[in-house]
Amino acid sequence: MENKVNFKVYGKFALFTDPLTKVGGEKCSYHIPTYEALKGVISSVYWKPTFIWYIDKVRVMNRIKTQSKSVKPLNYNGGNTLSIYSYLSDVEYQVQAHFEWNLFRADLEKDRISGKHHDVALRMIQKGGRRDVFLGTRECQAYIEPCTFGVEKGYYDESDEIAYGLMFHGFDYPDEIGLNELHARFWWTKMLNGIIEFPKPDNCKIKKKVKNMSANPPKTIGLQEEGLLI
Amino acid sequence: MSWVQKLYDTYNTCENSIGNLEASSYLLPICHTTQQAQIEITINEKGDFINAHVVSKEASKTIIPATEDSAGRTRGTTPHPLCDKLQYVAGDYLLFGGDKQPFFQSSNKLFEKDEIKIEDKSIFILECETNKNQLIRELYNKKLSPLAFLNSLISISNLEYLLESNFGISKISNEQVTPEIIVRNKNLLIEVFKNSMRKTITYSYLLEKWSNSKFGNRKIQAVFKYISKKQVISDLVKSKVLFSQNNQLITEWKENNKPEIFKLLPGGKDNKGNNKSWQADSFIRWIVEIPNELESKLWRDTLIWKSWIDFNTNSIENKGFCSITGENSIITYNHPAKIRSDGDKAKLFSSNDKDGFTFRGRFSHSIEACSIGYKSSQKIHSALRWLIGKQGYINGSQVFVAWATSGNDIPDYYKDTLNLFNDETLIEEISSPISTAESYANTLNKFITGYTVKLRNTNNIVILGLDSASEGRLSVIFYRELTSSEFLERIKKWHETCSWWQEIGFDTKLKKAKSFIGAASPKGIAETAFGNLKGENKNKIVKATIERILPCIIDGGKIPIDIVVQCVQRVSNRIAYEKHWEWNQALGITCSIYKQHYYERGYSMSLEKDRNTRDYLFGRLLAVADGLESWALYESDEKRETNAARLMQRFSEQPNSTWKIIELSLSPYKARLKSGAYKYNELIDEIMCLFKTDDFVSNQKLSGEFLLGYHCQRRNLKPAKKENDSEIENSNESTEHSLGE
Repeated sequence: MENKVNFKVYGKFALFTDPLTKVGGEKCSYHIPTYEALKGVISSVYWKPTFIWYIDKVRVMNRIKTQSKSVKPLNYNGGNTLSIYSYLSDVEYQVQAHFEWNLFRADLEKDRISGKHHDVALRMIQKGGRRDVFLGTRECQAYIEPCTFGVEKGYYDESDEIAYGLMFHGFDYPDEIGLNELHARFWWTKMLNGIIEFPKPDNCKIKKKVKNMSANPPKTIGLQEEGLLI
Repeated sequence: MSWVQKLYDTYNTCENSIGNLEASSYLLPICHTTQQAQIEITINEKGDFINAHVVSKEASKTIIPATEDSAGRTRGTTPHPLCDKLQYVAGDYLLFGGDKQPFFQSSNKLFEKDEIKIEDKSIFILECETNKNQLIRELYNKKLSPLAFLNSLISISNLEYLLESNFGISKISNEQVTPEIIVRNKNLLIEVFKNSMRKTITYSYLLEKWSNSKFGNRKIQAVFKYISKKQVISDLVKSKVLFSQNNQLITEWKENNKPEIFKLLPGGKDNKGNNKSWQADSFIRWIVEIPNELESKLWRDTLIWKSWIDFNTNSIENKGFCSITGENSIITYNHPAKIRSDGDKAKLFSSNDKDGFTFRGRFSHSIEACSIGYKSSQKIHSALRWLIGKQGYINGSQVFVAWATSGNDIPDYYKDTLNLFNDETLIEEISSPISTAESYANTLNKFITGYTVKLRNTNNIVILGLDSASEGRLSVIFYRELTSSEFLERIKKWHETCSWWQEIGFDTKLKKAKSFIGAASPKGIAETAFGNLKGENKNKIVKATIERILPCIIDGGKIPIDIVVQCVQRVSNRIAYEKHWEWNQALGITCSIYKQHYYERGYSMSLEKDRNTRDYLFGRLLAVADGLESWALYESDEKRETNAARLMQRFSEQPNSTWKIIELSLSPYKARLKSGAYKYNELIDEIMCLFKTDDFVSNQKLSGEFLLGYHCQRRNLKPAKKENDSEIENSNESTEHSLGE
């Protein structure tokens, strides 16, 4: 079954927040995107509960530059504080991803039609996405285009291996793992010649249980709605 | 994040530098902090007092063990475990007239409202609900306030028995509770509510636990035996370290011949009417003399450090996921402050955000969002503090620090070329008046090669910039990681591309500015661009400008054009500069950054006789006119500004028409000099010929390039008017003022 997509996402700023700095309010970005952020990008482009997106690899095209901005975040009870956020500036990534059926959604079995979702996904990448695409945080708006992975010169093509230490990988949500728990996954990141190959969520050994959570998806009435199709 | 990992690695690699007290900034062992001590008490193994001295200010810095809470304390609250002030250490503090609240041991009365100090009510409730003891659960179900709940518990005389045997309210004894039992009950409760009542512990309680634990040590036990006698102040008074009158410590020494302790802690009131520190605020440190033990000073004994580290890490019970090592280890809620300086209250990781929207949503508690291990946090903060103290650059609230993860020395990216070269011969080479661009390049190469050998390629250089927008939180504004070869290459490139003839700072002894070839420091550039602003705004802009220039050095980018333009504008307004050498300094810096920004045009530091761009030639013309007139004035002993100098601002805006004015005004001087002016006339003709026809006639504004032409031409003319320059500088006497750092 065809399920691979390639796309290029680029924007002026990106903020892949480091959880260590997030809690204190002075957000600082990771230098490279997280698995979850890229999954969010492709999910903004096209997503249905029938399937789960998996990011295979990402290629960093531009040199990693940071820029700090002063911001005025609002307080819950009115008023504001002052903070400094560190963004990445002028980013471009080539991403290779694929999707697999979400086997925990038995009610959507009839929607697992080979070819349908893949065609729509490709068309939506061509159109630039169904929803707004953002890199990390919502204010970092980005554009998305189809591309061929590996073509074109990137800044880190000959840079050997760069290690980034322990980084956040993604969240295990209840509807995707079948347990009523929320987990956070971490992994030891390495970038080789500008390409980062993400391990699959199941292969991430380092997990932290965040809390109990139950999946509560809206009920689907199936593909054949009475009276809709004649 | 990588920088956190790098700090962690640096700490581990530099383990030999831990506690190296000779340096001004040393790496602290984890779970320790520094404090200045005023009194040293020497005791023996049995806990008997031997003697005591006052510690001089130079030797007063002490490494003391600290708990999470005590390291971050502000006013007198949580005690340090071993060395602390008299109000914690001395059992007889109140007897001798101590004015602050004592924390030697729990009071033998019921709890008062402000005594319990339960920070996080939710944790207290959690501990009550998860406690398996029947008595506690039954009492908790009565829904009393925390104060009433705790007071009712400590009023039970057989509390210890009930907690052990797990009986309930029915078995409460009717006996009246004695003050000693109240103290014991309070200590018991601190055991039961480990997390929420953490801040209620007292000095003797903590020291007892430590000395009786399996990590305890003979010396610690000796100290405990001694303080349990509650005679600290009376012993100090007997040995004439502290002074009392009618058994009350004297607050202020009114006569002459002040004893040592009063020189350090004078007492009395300051000019705002607040009380100054007096002798009862002394900080104590211990010396335990045991035969055959080499190190009797407890603050230098590595075994004592280890004993505290082991005890402390074993007594904390929250285990969780450490985001730095990825392992399941003890986690901490409280992170250390005092990063940029000893008085700094800002924290890198804070987790008590309750009104902002920093993590609410998926997460209800900050631990869910992010958890850091206790040991990891201590190591990171210790390493960062050490590095900032050793080699950081503090600029207001901003701090930049660069280090090699192996701990080797690296060249200073923050300094100008003169201060960068730490070798005498290299400094000589670039400051000599006959140095040229080639000799400079050689010198720079030599300097870099020196470092290439020391820092082998596998080394990683980390550059970190920190700033705080609001007091209390520190954020990372700049972070780069480079291999050592990349770093050295960038430094070399900066000093090459941004080099020019500089005259920075005024040496009052030699009565002239230090001149050398090289690059200016980021601070020098920022001051040149915005030095004329006043007050708060100036600091903010200078800080922001330095932050923008540093990436140019470290990433190898061009200096932003607006900084170049700003400098050019300021320098063109020559009259605004009071001192001659200040203007020369600004001119040198501006030329260097202009050259760096337009490096592709290949400006040379020596006069380019064949460059015929309009702005360059106009600059040369101005220099010739300036030179001619100033020589004429010198010859006739007049000390005026030349016309060229006065009209420089106008010249940069309307060169053609202003040149007409300048040239016409040169006639009297040419007449005065007669044959001496021949060379100058020739030069003017030569330059005029180089102009392309339309260029000269156009009255368009000049860019910064004219300054390069001006400077080069002026230098070229120098041998003829060398005396003129030094005369003019001498007439503008000034005090020293150094910009380049």
